[in-house]
Amino acid sequence: MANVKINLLINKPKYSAHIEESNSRIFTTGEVITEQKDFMRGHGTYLEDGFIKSSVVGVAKQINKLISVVPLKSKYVGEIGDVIVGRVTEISKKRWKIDTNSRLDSVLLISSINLPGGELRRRNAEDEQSMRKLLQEEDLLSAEVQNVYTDGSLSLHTRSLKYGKLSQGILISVSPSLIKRRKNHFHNLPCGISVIIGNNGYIWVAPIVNVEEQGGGFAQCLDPVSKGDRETIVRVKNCIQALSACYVMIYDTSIMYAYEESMKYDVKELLNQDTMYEVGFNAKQRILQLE
Amino acid sequence: MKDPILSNNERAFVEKAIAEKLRIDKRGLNEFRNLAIFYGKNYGSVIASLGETKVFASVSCEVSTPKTTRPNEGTIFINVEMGSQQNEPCIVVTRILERTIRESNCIDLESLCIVAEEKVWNLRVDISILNNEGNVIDCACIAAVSALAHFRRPDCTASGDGEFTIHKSAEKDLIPIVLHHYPICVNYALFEGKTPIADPTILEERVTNASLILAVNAYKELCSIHLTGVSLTSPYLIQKCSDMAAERAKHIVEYIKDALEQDRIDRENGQAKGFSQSIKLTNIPSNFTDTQEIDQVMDTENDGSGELEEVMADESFEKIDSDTVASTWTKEESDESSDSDVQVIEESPKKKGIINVMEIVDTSSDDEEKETIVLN
Amino acid sequence: MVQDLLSAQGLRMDGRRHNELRQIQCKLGVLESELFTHKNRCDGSAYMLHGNTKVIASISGPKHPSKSSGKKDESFIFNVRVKFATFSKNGERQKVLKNSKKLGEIEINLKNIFKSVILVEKYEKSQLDLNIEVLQHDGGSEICTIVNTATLALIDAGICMKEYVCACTASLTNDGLALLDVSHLEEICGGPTLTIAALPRIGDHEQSVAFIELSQKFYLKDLNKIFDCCQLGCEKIRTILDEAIRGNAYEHVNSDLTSN
Repeated sequence: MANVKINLLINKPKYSAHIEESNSRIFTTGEVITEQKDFMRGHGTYLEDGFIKSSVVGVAKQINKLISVVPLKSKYVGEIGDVIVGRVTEISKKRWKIDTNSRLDSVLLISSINLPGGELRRRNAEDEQSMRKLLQEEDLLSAEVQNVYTDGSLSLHTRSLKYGKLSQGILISVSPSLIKRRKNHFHNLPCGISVIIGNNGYIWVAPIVNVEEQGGGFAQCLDPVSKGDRETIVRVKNCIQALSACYVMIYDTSIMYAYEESMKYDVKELLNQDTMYEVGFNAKQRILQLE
Repeated sequence: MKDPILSNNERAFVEKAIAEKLRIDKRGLNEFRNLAIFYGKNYGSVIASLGETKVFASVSCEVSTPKTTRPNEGTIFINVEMGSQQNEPCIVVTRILERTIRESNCIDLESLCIVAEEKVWNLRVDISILNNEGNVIDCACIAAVSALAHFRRPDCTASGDGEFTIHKSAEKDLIPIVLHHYPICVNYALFEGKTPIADPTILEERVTNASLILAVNAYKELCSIHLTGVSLTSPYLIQKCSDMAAERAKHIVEYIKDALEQDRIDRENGQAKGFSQSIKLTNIPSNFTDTQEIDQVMDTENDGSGELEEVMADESFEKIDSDTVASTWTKEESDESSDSDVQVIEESPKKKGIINVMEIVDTSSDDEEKETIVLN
Repeated sequence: MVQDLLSAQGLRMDGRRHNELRQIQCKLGVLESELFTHKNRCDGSAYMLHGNTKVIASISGPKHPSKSSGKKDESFIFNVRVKFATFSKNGERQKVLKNSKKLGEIEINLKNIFKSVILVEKYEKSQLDLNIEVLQHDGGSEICTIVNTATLALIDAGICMKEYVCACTASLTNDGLALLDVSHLEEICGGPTLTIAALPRIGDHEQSVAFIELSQKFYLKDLNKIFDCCQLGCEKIRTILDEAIRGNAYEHVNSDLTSN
């Protein structure tokens, strides 16, 4: 007997309806935010007939005189210093094109990486030709945003031992607006695995690897991963998806809360929609209690 | 063929001029270019020209089976050829004409039925854009409608039990299609969604990229509206344009009827001229004609529109000067005295346009041959 | 051919009053792409049921233009693809014409409508794909449901726009009364059908109409009446869309996006 569970496309359970937050107001597309002239318009807004209007659906944010609207779901808009996880889409002369979930592909120049073993770049045709040895198409890597070009595309760098090619693990993609900006985006969780929470909404879940051993960040470590580790990785992945389904901000604490809440279920059961919402909702409750 | 690049300077110039209610060819905002309709020697073939824009339309018919949903109605098919241009404008023009002609029920399709549920006439309107100098849709619509009005189909008699005979033109007179009304498309290019410009030239069309096309008949019935291109306009403007379009449509319908009448008289007298009259020696591109002559023509035109400008200058474009309208629609007298088309070609082998026309005349006669085969 | 579209009691064939819309249900974010595929990732989606018409719209992008999309002269590449399911008409399996003129026309119209409301300058050098799947369609006015669904999908994807675009149809009875939201049955009975797509709220109706289409004819003097009726419909549809969007948004807001 096959074990079939059918989920109807019904409205999600309104767990969140219990919590009323009156401070944040939602503006919809075309709604007038303010008519005062002394405000500056930021992202997600446009000016018409002297009114600042919202161009997306989201929450208004005011910093001094700058008004912007944060859309609920959107592509990643990069800022200098952000940690990102990306995928190589193309190799061209002196640069890799990286998909970072943003509007345009980002670039990683060969001059902004550290060669394996701290070797210096020789700046000749040879090392341009050997680019594919370092990173191939479809390879995943972690990096930092070095610069934002005028057209909005990003330039990345990996000039630190913690950045570089990723070897074994799972990639999850969530909305970039759910990622909480923190000092550190690299975490070794107490459950014995590591996560890299990219600001661009890509999250990397992998077994803990000793950074020093990697030497420059472009060698791939393909040692076998134990079954227990694999199971933990999958559980964390399912927990992150549960958080995303419940629109809970994602950072180390929330992941750990969800992880703890999920312990009473089998990993497989977490795929069940109801279980997913319950785990996400419980984690949310704990975060709110913390505040 | 790709459109040549439109420079920013040209674009800015046209836009600024329109903002000051001036057009680059000195027309008023609601002034149309000269319209001319020429009937071919065959029934149902027409060349319509609006300024330098030229459209050829040809109607043919064949016997086919009706649609199951409408068993006692004939069908009409419209095909537009735009030369080697891209697909998109072609689709737009075809669909607008389909809406205007087919969906406004201007043709009595029931009269095209031979045997219900079995045999009906299928009309086919082939439209070729010979020269696109802007406002193809107006010109194509006028050509299509006047071609339909001009067309004659063979008579046929049904003799019970599904049998029928189609009579050759020698046996029985050809009979015209019944048109309830003549829908006329009027195209207004919209600048910044606010300023409508009647009868845009190709340059104006490319600058604004947005236009409002209204199809109105002589009874002030709206047959189709279409807002094309990237634009936002106000309902008030649509109302205003539709009133102007109604006025224009009335004149054009009259003009088509006059032209049809003239053609009928010519045919009765055995003087049908065919397309040779559509060729005007004065209108050949400047590399061919004596420049002085062109200058003269320009001068006289300027004099004419000078008055008009005074009229239009203060009370912009809502007012239509009926005199100028009438004068623009007067059929141009052709200097051409030759009787046969072939002669014209010999006279001026360099003129590309004429060769085009000739080819089409040829193909249309081919069509007729095909038709007779079908009929036999 | 023309039947009376309105009974003596003032009811239409399906029991609606003259100014009543058909049932509309909609939902945002119906397609979720958990799968990590870069090229055709769905970034926003919506589903709408309007009368007997069912449409799913999905957005992919804005993203780096794919090489095959060719056109380099356009700064913002906006692709629209409309597909009718084979079972979309009357539930019978029918051969669906690909690349037909009608389909082409709908795609061109959608492209034009949304290019006029999307804040194009924010998406320079990027590509945006709009995919429309018509699951079931009821009559010729499916473009109005398609436009409304596409609006929802664009909002779900967080694309910057000036306003909602709402589309609505209206017809006219023999007595000259405007009927809102024409059903298929009413359409084949032979009344004229006017379809408009409008931005219902922008400053006092100035520059608010993005698209008009008319089939069948009516007297020019009735234009105002039927047009007003359409606009009223658009405003009604706007409230329905707004409700759906806000309902969807509140779930998100509780996750305190503002804390960033």
